[in-house]
Order: sequence, then C-alpha cells, then structure tokens
Amino acid sequence: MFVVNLGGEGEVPGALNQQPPWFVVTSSAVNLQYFVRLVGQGKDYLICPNETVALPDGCADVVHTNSVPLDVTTWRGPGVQTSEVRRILKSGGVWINNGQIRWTKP
Amino acid sequence: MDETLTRFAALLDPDPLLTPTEEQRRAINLLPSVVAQSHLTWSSPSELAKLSGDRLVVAVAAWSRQDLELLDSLNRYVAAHPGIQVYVTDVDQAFDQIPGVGEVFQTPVVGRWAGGVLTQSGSGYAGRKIVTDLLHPSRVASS
Repeated sequence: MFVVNLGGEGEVPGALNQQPPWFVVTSSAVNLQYFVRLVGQGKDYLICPNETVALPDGCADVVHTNSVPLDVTTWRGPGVQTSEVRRILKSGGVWINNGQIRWTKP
Repeated sequence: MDETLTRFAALLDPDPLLTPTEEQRRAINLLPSVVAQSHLTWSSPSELAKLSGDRLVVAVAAWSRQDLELLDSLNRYVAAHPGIQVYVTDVDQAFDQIPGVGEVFQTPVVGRWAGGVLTQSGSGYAGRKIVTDLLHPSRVASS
C-alpha cells in the first residue's frame, strides 16, 4: 500500500512525507536538525512544490492531509492543491483529511 | 466543561455539504466572529501595534485544527482567569507583526507582554509552548 502525506502536522507512519522546498532550503537550523533526525529514524521524504507533486498519476492508495492550507496561498506560498490529491490517487484510493476519509476516487 | 463556551475546533468539523477546501474558507471567514463571541479578543493585524498592557497575542491559521484547539484551551483558561487579555489575529496577515520571532515556518505565532515589555515570542512549537506554559504554570515551575 502506497501512502502519501502531503505536509501538515506530524508524520504519518509508513507514509512518504511530502514537504515543499522551503522546508529544507530556507528552513532554520532547528527545523533542519528535526528533519535530519526524522530521516535518520527511517522516515521517507519527498521535497517538491505543493502545486506539482513529483509523483505519477494514480499511484497512491491513500493521501493524508493534516491541518494544511488547501487551495490557498499563505505567507509561505501555495498550500496543498486538492487537484494534486485527486491526480495522484489511484482508482479506489482515499483522501484522509484531519483523520477522516473525505473522498474516494471513482 | 462549560458547554456554553465557544468551540473553535468545531469550525473545521466536516460538513457533508462542503469540501475540505470550502470548510477551511468557512473557518477563515467565521473566525473573527467566533472570537468575538468568546472570552478572547479579535485584533486586526493593523491594530496589533496599538495594543498596550499585559497581553498575549496569538496569530493563528484557521485552517489548522491544532491552532483552533489551542484557542479552545485558551478560551477555557481565560473564562476561569479573566485578568488576562488574549488577542487573536490571522497569521497570514500578521506573521511578521510580533517582534523577535524570526522567519515563520509553522503556526501559531505568539507574543507575551508583561509590564509593557515583550517577554516571550515564538512560532510553531515555541509559540505553543508559550501558551501551554501559561495554561499550566505548575509544569513550568516543576521542570
């Protein structure tokens, strides 16, 4: 089962955790130390823009979003795009937002 | 718990008639009025610099359930401790309005003033710790 976590609060066990480039490019030393520690613990990360998630169409069984801005631009740039959530889910795949299933791809 | 207290986290409760995006937009639009009905005080970012006195300023993201749950905790605390003034504002417009925070990566952004002086400020985990230290001073004293 391929599980993707598109940013947000905390990491999802067993998921590929996506973060936008600023997370590692402009992040503080404290953030980077935290990031390095998580990678050292075996967490997998994908660093790519929220607008163009670097994953193929229909690849994910589950996409998680937890307390992330959806379809809006914040002071940190574009938030998670629900069009990308829908694109990367495979047929029958589910989008879980804040712990609840919100959409199943036909 | 006082059931008459506002519940901020409810702003993001799933609504079968709305998409999660629409729910977040609703939360962003409703947050100022929900704050107005609570024991907290809404402040526009342009008003922050004019505030005075001992206060806690919390800049939150209405799309963050964790931030809204933090407001719920603060609201309950202020209801029981009415001496403290807590101002809430929108982090998207006020992320750079609290001195000493540096670059903001995560929410909330928090500043605490006492005796006319900014005594604590921070964002993300550090911002939440300022709030939780206020809510649970005994933990700070014993740590």
